[in-house]
Amino acid sequence: MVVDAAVHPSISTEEYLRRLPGPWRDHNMGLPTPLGRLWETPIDEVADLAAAGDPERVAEAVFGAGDVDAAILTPLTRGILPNRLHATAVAAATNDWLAEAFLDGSADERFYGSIRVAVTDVEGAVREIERWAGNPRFVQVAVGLRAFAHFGEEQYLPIWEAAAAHGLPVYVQDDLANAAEMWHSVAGQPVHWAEADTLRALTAIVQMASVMGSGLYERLPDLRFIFGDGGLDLAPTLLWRLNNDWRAGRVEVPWIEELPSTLVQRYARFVCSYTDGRPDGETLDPELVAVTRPGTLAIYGSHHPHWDGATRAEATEGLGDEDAARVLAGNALETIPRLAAALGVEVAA
Amino acid sequence: MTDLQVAAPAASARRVAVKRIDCDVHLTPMPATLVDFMPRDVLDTVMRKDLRRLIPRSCYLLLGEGLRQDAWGPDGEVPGTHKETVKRQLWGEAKMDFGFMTPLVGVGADPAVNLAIMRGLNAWQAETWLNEDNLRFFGSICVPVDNVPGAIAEIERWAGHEGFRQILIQPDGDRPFGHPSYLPLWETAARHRLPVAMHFNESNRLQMGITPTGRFTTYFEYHAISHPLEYAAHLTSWITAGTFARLPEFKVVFVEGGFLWHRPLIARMSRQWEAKRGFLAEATKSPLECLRDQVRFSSQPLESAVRPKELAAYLRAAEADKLLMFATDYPHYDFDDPDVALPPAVDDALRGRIMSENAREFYNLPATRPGGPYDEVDA
Amino acid sequence: MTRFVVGPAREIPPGAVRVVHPESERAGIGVFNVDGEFYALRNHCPHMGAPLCSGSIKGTGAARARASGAFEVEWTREGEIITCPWHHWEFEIKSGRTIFPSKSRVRRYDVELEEPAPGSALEARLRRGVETVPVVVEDDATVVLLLGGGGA
Repeated sequence: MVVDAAVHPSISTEEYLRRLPGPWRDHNMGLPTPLGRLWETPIDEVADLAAAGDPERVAEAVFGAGDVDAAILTPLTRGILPNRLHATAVAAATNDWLAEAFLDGSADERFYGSIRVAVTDVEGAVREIERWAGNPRFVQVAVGLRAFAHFGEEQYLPIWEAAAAHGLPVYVQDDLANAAEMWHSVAGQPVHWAEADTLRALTAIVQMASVMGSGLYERLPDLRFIFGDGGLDLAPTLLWRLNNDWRAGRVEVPWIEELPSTLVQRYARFVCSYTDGRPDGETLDPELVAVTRPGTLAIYGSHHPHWDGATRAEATEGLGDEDAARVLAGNALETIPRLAAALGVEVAA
Repeated sequence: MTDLQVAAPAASARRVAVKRIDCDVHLTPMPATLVDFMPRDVLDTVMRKDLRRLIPRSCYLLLGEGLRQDAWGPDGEVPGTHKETVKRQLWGEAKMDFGFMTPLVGVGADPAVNLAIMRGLNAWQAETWLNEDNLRFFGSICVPVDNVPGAIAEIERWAGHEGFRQILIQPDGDRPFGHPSYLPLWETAARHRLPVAMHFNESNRLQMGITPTGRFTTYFEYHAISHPLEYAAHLTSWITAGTFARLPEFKVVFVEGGFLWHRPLIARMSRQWEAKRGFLAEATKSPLECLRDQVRFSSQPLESAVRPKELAAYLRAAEADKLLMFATDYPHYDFDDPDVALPPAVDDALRGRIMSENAREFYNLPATRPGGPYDEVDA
Repeated sequence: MTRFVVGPAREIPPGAVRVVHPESERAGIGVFNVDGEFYALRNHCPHMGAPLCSGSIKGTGAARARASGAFEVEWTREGEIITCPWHHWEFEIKSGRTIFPSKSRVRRYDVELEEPAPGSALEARLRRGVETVPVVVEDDATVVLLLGGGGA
């Protein structure tokens, strides 16, 4: 079985403006490239944005090669919008479009969707989750990687509670850089696209650690995060540091009762990137895959239409059959109960 | 950096093979001592002798105030300030042969004060630790990054001094350091062939614990992740801006920020460089070549894996045999003991590279040193 | 079983520790008084060999839920914990186990309190050996370490 956990259909400005209520309808949402407008980015090379928004052409690209059983769609939105009501309106319009274009039965039935929410509008986010939770084609919630506080902080709790209550994992995606977010590095704004593209994996780890440092995983044991934009191969190195800091500094975080590198398995998964296990970016080191692409944590996703997704071959190279099966489908099905139910797969509790 | 050798000893003097080099030793003066070395005009005007600025403080829960509790001097001297205690613990007990000083006092908002503090640190190093024959401690020329001309002048002041073997900066900048505004500083370092060591500070700084998506709440998270965040910003920046390509003698050491995290980032950049070269026009040297030729890391705090064989495998894959240089971080609390920090799974050849050979080659240090009075101290 | 005399119990009041150096234990042994009970731990942290017993004797943090369910830290077990002077690993003085779940522990030694009989050899040794404080033997218990065979 194969689940493609990361497909990113693109919504045109026209589609947004058709769906946004006033006063947001009057805002001319200039279309930055899906990786933002701070830097020149490679997305223009690969993305025919019209094709990326057309259900038939997306289906052809994702299912055309055959034997993909499900694809989970997470559109990028337009990045952080400072007015949280605007942000929720855009998220709602995104979900309306996705439901209508991809999930209402007219498109390929193997498509599933994410409920996009804006974390800056907690009440609006909960409302949006409740609005779509009854639609079984929506199998997860999706949030942007960047916010103004870490996910473990108290203000976000109602969002995670709503997601967990409905059995919806939270997919975390790095959205557009539109200059309304914080600097993309802790030393000020990077100069080049390549820096931001590299550093985003670290931001995913920051969020991962905050779930641990706050005890959120303990308060909501059913909550799951799927980090869609990097971190799988980076996580072990930083978890080994967190292990040291837990042993030394447990007194500050006494709710953590096991090694962070073990604890993370309870609540976090990461979408594969093609550099996992390749210390030079190209050549697989078989001794490293157990560490940098553990069978427990990795979830395959093509990231269509972006240039940087792993192919299935890349994602499973060096893995035994059992681990390969987990990466290609098992971990996604275990983490996303609605998907498993839709595909008629029973997952061990 | 000139090709220096330790002065040839008298024919009868014993020489010892260099096996352990410590790339991160925090010897720092007490505030009352430091002011004696700082420029008078700044002390009398801007600082008004407010010594609190010189005392490290962190607003995170810094365990034991950051110090080894068994490193205090006999009369209660702060760890790292009593010479005899330092030498007994570092040369005698830890059996280190050479050590690199990385004195740290926090930077604040005022560039004039920052420069004055660093000028004081450099003068203090020269007079207190670098005025001995047969140096075993080497100094770092501390410079601020918020005043590039002042930093350049300070490098020029000390570059000819044989005791100073590198420049020391903190990662706090307005932009990542590949930004063109910093270029004259790296050009100066390259011209003098002095590596630039980067070491964070946990006390006074412009923003504590900031991340691209908020601020760390716990020290647990902050200590593990903030320094990789800081160093990664500059590493990626120097590579993509082509700073390494343009200045082959510009070399960087990332101190006390961990090691293995760099590899997934470099892997990513390697793929970018292969696949998207058009978006990396200034990066005329590949990320891996930059890394191998011009970047090093100090080891402490060494990542500790649940399965030590995995750590050894990752160290090998991450080219620790070239890139990693041992450090204790003496006298800080998270001291890495040289006898046990590297797990047994690390083979002898790699161990030798990490414990001394990489630093010896990088800093052009001699393979032997004169015997000293602490050689026979029981560990 | 070797007995090693540490000294008068009143010289190690509650909350204090004394490190002694019997021949059989090069690192030394720290003898602690926790609320009137005596315990002894090897002066060697299993992490990297730091002199454990020159760390701080303190309490530790425990997780407590607020009304909202959010976690906070409750300070507890004051005096029962020794933290390593290097990396701050916390050890329960009574058992030598780390507070964080692990297999690491520091070796314990058994301790006895002994009332020296008047005219005994022990009394004589005390009178000779503990010069700084006059030893009042009648009501003064002596702390004795049991080496070899005891401890874990």
